[in-house]
Amino acid sequence: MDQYGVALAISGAILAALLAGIGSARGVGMVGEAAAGVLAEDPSKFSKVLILQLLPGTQGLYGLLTAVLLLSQIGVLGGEVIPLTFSQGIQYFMAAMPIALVGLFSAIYQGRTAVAGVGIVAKKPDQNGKAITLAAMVETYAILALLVSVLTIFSLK
Amino acid sequence: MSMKETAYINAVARIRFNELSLLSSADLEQLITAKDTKAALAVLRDKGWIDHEGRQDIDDSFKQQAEAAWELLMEIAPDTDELRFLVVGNDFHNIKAALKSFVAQEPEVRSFITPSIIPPQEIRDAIFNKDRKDLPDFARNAIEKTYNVLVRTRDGQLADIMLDAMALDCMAEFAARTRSSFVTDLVELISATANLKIALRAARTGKGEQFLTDALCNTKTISRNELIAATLKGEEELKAFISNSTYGGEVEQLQKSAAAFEKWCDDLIISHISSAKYKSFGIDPLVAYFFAKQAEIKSVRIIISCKQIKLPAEAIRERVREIYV
Repeated sequence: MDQYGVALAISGAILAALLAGIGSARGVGMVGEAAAGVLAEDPSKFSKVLILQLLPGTQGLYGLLTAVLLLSQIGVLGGEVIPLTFSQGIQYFMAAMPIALVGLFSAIYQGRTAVAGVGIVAKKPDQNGKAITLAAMVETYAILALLVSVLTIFSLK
Repeated sequence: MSMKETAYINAVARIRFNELSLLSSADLEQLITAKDTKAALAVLRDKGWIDHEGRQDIDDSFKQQAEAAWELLMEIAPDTDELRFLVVGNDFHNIKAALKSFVAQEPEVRSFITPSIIPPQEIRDAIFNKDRKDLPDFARNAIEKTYNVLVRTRDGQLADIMLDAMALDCMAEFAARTRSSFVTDLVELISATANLKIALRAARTGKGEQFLTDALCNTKTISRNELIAATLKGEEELKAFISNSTYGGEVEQLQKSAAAFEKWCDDLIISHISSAKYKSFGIDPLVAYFFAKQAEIKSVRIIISCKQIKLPAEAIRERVREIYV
């Protein structure tokens, strides 16, 4: 079973980047569609809607960061892979799950909130700060998940 | 979140922007308090409604406003078929107008209305040339049924009420395809209030069962058979029936006047669509925008008509519809 230790750890890293990346792509895509709708009517609102579109993109970066840290911890990036037991592999795999799953869902929900925010910008452009704040609130949970993943990875020996 | 919901993200954002051009309650108040028709038309010109003042232009602008709203929806909707229920009633009106002209042997049909699914001229040609094969099923069936009744009975009123009932049934059928409870509830509201208007008029004029069977459409919130039975027993019995139904609140409006009841029905629709103001996904905001535009056009038409007969502002306010924005 120990031969699967490294494979499990790498799978965790891949899922962190993959799922969080999918969530961000979905979220950014949704906001982009809404933003394009507003820009088709009023191109001067570009800078305001761009900030909203960027917000759901951070989860993908958190997933990437987690994946890089994990791969670095187990020596994959350094060129010298550290042998891991099955149990250690599972530990690394599970360490990556918070940002993988929370990243996926929080990016989609943040995208939804940002789409609603684009509606605010369309009708009341002076209120875009409130739209950004509402969407940014969802970010909290992605940051918490990132912290848990990173701290767990660093604490594993 | 379904794919269908997210398909409307871009369209909803564009609708939100276009909602800014709808007249606000302050705009309507400005129109109401304008000192005369000319001043009211000047306000509309400032709002971009009309290019020039004059009676002909305001009539054109009502038409243009309705057509522009429909064209916008056709441009932005990911599936334009889903919105057909919004204008299918105009197609039935056009069928009615063309059939009347055909029966009267008047080649020119004057009362076509737009926007519609089928270009009015196609309906006219299909009826006059008796070549209906290129028309959509709903139009072909409606023409065939009504034409047969007209030929058999020569009763224009019967043909009218049959087409009105068919229009509402067709609207409900098209609305069901959207799979939006917001839309189906809205169409149910329109159908049920239309039935109540017909039933009340029938009770007052003593119409028989056959008339009611032909005129009333199918609804879920009020049983058609029970409504027919109550109408046949007379106006008081009908009002008692309505007061015990989902639409119990409108008995008071019914007792005031037909105009008050009509306004109550329109306001009920605006009240229903108001929930779409807070939605960012799905077809609902598009539908709400179209109905909001219709209500706005109706209100402006009422204000201008009242101004022309010099009604006081208070009397105009009582007639003006609720607004969406």
